[in-house]
Amino acid sequence: MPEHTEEKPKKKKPVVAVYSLSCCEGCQVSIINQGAKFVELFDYIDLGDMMLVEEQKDVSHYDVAFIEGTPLTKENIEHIKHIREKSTYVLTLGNCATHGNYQGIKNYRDKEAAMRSVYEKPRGIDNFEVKPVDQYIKVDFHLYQCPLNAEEFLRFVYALVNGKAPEVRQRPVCYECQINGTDCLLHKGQMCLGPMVLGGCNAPCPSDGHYRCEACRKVLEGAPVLNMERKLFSGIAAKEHLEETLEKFSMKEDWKKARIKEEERIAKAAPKPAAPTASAPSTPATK
Amino acid sequence: MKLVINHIDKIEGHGSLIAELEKGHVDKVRFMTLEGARLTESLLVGRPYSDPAIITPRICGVCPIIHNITALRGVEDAMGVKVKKDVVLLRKLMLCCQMIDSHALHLIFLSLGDFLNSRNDIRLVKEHPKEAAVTLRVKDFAIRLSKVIAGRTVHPLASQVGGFKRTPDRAMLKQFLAEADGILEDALAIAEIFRGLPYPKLDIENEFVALVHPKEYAYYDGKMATLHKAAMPIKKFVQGIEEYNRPLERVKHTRLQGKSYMVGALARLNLSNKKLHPQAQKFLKKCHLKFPVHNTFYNILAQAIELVHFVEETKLLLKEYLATKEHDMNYPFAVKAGKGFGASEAPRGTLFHYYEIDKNGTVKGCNLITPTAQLTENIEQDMAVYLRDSNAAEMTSDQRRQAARKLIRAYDPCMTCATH
Repeated sequence: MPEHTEEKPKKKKPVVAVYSLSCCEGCQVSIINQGAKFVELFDYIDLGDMMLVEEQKDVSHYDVAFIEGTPLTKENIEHIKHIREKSTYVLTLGNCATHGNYQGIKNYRDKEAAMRSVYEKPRGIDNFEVKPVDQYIKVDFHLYQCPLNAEEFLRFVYALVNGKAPEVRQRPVCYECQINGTDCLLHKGQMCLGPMVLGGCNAPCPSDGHYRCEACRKVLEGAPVLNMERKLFSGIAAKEHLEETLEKFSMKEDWKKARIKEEERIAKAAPKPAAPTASAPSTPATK
Repeated sequence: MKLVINHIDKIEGHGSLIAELEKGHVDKVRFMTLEGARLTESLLVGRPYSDPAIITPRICGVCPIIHNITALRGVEDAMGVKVKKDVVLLRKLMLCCQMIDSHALHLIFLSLGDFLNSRNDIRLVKEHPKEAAVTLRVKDFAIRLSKVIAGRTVHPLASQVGGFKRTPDRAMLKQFLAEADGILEDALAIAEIFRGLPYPKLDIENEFVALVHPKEYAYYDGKMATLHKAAMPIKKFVQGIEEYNRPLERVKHTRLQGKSYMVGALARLNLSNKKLHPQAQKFLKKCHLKFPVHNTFYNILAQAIELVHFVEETKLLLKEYLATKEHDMNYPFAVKAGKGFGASEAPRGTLFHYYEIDKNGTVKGCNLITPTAQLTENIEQDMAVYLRDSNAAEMTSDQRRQAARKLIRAYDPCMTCATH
């Protein structure tokens, strides 16, 4: 948070925009729910666009543009390209934009059949494969999670308007569960993906809701997912159950990539076929 | 002449409006979504019975709690799960929080600007600091309380089929009870702003539809009624709703016996105004309304009245829950095959969830009928009458657009729900 001791700067404030594609807008709501902290933000920035708050303005340049939601229509895709052109920084806001959220389940189904089961007359309704925003345009930074952590959002905004790159510590959700003093669901024999998932959310699901982590942020860099799968498949959850859970926030591809990396790592570490198998690192929750 | 608004601001989600106007005649009004089709109903099929309550809140960030509870009730109805009283009390509290938060947002931040000719909420907040502070206080009360009960406001975590994953902290609930009288005063102060507003004229006969209950201002339990028809069971009512999609449009419209209808605060007020709590009742008297109220602009005033009512309801529920014995709310239940309906009153009107579950607990069928999907056709009909009678063809382009936006915002539509 910025210091309040000095007078408010008189110079031109940076222009920040929040634009939504197809989604629930829960990220915007979570930001607005910050109440006074949200209003205070406007001492430091000007709003370029935020449809839930004000009428759309014709602004030629954004210093920082946030995009929430998934590009699901032609107009969505055109719009984000336009935003990219007129913005210094583009950031994704929440899981719909970074990964594709539950609408991404469609990628594992017959998408034409899915469309026909909802619409009697599906003609003219876009039915693209669900892809994250950064597959259409260059994204400078990502704000993960569903819905986003509004405190993290404010931290990102203040960092960017002060010319600093926002950072997220590479540590698992478990780290935050331990700080919160939350009972470990894995220890109780229940499925929880916390050890594999990037923290920064303050673990609201396990800590506030007694609900497992279902990986709505991002698979942690170098996460030992094979080790985790072995643990889960040894009586906690079936393979299908893990896959189904990873589909919920479009995290299956992240997980697959992490698995390939881990397999490569293991192959490098164990060139001789007779090497022992106990080399996989254990995870914080399973210690 | 063609009226085109490509993007209507200050509504939940993205919507556009097209209409053809001549003097004395308005034609071809189309109120359309710009949201992409997420195909929620289809994607839930094949997933476990616990998923609807987690996935459907993600249809709408403004009313996630309503989807969460309605999904739970639909699944419970399908599997024949009976729910204990303490669970019902907490769920009702969650719904009250949703109603209070959403109404306060719509009243002060989305609607009031239309009457003060302010198009920017941040400016509105700075120019009316007292009103803004009161509103933020009321919203904050609802946001904090729902977090204590559900673990998170957007999106709920702790509520589950048959109960809750954990019980809320009673000491904190007691604090909310102590706060409730102050919040009631704040709600009355907000409501008072809306009593004297110059609501535009709109001469139209609408059909109103809402849940009704013999004992309460219905929002959780009850039967479905219309202004002209006696109450009927939810299942029978839903089976009578005709759903259809127009070519190229992503919102499925609904009709009852070939006609459009209105759901939402004004519908509830028309059907249940005698069951308001005392302070809301007292405020209603001061408004001098003659029931039934047909003018859709009064949906805004109806929300103001409801804001007071639901704060009173919250206080009563808190008292009632605190009088129950503390219990582990992970109540056991059996997974069974069946079909079931859930219906609750969302801020914008009745929300229906239908589920078919198989013996393994897998979702086999799903249909969601949201308030705004039901409202779309009524908005178009109202719009034609309103633009004609207010002589919109003679207005400047700016006035015309502003008039159209004002009516749409009175409905408080939610395009993300409408499209899902």
